[in-house]
Amino acid sequence: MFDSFVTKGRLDEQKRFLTMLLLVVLFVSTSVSASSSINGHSVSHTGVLKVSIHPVFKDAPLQLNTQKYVDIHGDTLIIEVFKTYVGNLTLVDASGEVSGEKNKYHLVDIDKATTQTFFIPKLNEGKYSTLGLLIGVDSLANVSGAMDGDLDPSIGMYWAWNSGYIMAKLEGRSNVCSTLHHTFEFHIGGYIAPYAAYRTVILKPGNEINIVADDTTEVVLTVDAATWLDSKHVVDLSKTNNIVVPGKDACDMAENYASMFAIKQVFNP
Amino acid sequence: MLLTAFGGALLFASFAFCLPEDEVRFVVPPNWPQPVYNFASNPLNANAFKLGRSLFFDPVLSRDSTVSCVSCHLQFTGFTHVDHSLSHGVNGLKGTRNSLTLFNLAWNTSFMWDGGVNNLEVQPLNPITSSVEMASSLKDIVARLNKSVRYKRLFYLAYNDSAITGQKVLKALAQFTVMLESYNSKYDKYMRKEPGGEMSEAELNGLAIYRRKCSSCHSEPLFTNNGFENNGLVPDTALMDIGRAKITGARVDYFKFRVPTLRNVAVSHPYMHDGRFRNLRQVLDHYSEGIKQSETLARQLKNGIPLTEEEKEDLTLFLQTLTDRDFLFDLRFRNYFD
Repeated sequence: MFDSFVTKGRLDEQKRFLTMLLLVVLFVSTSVSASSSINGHSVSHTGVLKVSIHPVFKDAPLQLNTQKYVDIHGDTLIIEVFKTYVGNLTLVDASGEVSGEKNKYHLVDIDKATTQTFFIPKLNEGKYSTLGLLIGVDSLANVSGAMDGDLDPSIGMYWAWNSGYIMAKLEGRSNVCSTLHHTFEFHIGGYIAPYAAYRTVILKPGNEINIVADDTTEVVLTVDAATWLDSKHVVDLSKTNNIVVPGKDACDMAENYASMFAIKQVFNP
Repeated sequence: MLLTAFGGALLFASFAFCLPEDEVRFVVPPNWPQPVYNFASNPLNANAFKLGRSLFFDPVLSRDSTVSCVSCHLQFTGFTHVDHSLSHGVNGLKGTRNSLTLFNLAWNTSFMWDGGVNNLEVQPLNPITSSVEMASSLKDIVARLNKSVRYKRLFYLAYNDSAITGQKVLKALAQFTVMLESYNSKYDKYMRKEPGGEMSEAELNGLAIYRRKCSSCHSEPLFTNNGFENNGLVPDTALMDIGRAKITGARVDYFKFRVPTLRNVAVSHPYMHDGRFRNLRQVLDHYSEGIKQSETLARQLKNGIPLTEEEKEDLTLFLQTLTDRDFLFDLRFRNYFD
């Protein structure tokens, strides 16, 4: 009985494959005829934005594990883990025209240089005065089940016991922390109001971001770990050193990291 | 009217998310609500279902390869365990809650006793990562599976791609768990006026008592309203489990737990989130005479649910009509090695 079930399954696969093939052939043939009507060749009106992210602690470059930093209380600390989701990067021009990503997320891991540069293709050419981005993952992505790529739950940025993404992580050590091995650990998440921890950020470049067809523009952002401890809320590591659940404390931290990104430079083509 | 009935029958016969073959299909029974689960994000596929079944039965999911999903979720008991109150994990460690039954999950709006999980696909992360259950991680499981020739083949058959990712592991498990459906109990046949649905007078009396006294929470046809309630249990001082409040942090949710389905309840003992009651009699005695008053007690239970001896007997007989042997012995949900 079970064998026949397997055979049936494969036959269906074949049938479905043939149907798909037919549909694909039809689709390709219609789209080819559509694009060929534009004088025989297509004209691009889109360019690429290269986003480079430089981690810092205040004015100094951020080095994990080895470099010591001093916070506003004069306490010495090191940082061991710094990860954040950056999503839905969009450019807005003076007239309000928007071009950018939708439902797209990049996990920036300060321990992995390759994650600190990414490209946003197919941006409409134009001069843009604003760069918008989301720190974290929006509520829809938090309730949509198992996702892939940078949102794959196997990456370790997803909570098992209380579903949802960890928007950003900061971990390190300071002797003022009376925890085991003097560690501090901030895993900030939560997608349900009033304790949603994702934040929309609007950045204004000094000069316009110019997207040119078939060319690449680069924007360099700094991401400042110090803002977690000293921004809207001032964090005293001797008192606050462990936030790993959604709630008010996590939201206060989100208000702090909302200011961690800044535009350092724009390289127009 | 006739057209509606005909439409319903057609719906039932051939339904919606089904595959062309008979064995792997999802059915929305007549007069049931539409499922909550988003099938569009995980189109049913016979090979992915079989892959999910393999994973469900495979101890590779646990750190020391001793515990599989089926360790605590056995088919004959409605996919739960029956021999002990709290679930066991790796190294003989004991959990803090009684495992839930697994069926009709496509209609769940949340998962786990405290509702902390928001989507069927991510539910397995909870037992996988719990230190007293499988004590593993999805990352480790993906690494292990990627070394397995057998699994590379099964993933290829399911997804035309042998590269195994966390997403694919979770979606395959959901293909299996969403297919666990129970809608062929004697009660169902009675409701559909089918052969085998003949109820005795006592069973019918039990059904009437159930509808009067139990159905506001354990509502038909799923026999749950997907809600969370404090049903008047004295909190176990060793566990101090605050239930739903662990997720919401809200005072109003203290000691509230999922309203479990009553389908297959006669075979899925012990009962309650901590498995404290061994049989249905103890459960009915609790509702009738044992309710503990507290701030968050369900309003329906303020005066308990007084039941006479005869009512308890008839109610028990009715609850037994919710046992679905077609489901409990369905060969599709057995362990096969492909």
